[in-house]
Amino acid sequence: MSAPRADSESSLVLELGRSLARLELALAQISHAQVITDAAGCLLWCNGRFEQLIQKSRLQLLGGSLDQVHQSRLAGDSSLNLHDLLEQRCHGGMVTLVLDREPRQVMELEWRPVQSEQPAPYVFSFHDVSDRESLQALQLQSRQLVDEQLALAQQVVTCPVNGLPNRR
Amino acid sequence: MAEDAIFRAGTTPCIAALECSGGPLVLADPLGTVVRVNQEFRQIYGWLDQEIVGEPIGKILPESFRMAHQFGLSRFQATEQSTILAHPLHLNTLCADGRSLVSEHFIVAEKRAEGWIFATTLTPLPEGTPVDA
Repeated sequence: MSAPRADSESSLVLELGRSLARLELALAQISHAQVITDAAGCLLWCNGRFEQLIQKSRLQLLGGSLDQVHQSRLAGDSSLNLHDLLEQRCHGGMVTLVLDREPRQVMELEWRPVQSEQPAPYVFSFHDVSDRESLQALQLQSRQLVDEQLALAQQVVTCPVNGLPNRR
Repeated sequence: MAEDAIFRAGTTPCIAALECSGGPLVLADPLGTVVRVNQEFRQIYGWLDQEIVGEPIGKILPESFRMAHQFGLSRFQATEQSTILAHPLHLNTLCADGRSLVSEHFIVAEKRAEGWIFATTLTPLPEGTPVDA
């Protein structure tokens, strides 16, 4: 009876391996940078997009503190401390980080606890929202211009003598 | 997977060359289970055969490394593509007594009828050597 059991264990292990490979390759296809840390914020895994973002290989990042990586590479002009943030909002959340103003580079950092064990590890996702932010900034700018034009238009009166528009 | 099943047909030339190098060596089966270590490995890292043979090779790696190691091993089995094979890697290596030694890991893989086998030579590096991870 032990041989069939060993066979079944081997096939289970192979199936698990295939599932892990599928998961790893699927996560590699995600265009957002993804990171998994332990409960203390120590980096356990990241995808290729995160390696590109940080310009370091996964090997160089594993075991390091995501907070330190964040401080050195992603903090931009924010004084955000991930460690404090996780303590305050351990159930997850989202913050926006302005990494650079010219050209504008903005990231949305979202995190959630992974309920696999206690204390819970975290999964982080970095969404590059620079294009959306630039578009919103342009929309705001154009709305302000329109408002200025409208304000100027209100100051225009028609001359009662010659019928031409004049500014007050 | 038993060592016999993997290595019955004899050691491959590449792994034989690593065995002749005289340094600490760890052999693992396709699942990443340690099937053989040499005397140099036992001496330097302090592991006894009964503590390490039959265990996942991740046991000699820091905890923070194990998840990525499992993912990477599984991905390699599926794609047969790797970015870490045949490159010297400076990694922390756990000793049996819990100490951590920075070592250069040089991993090669060979495909046999039974699947991939992995051989890692380890060279302890001076204290303070920066690690890749």
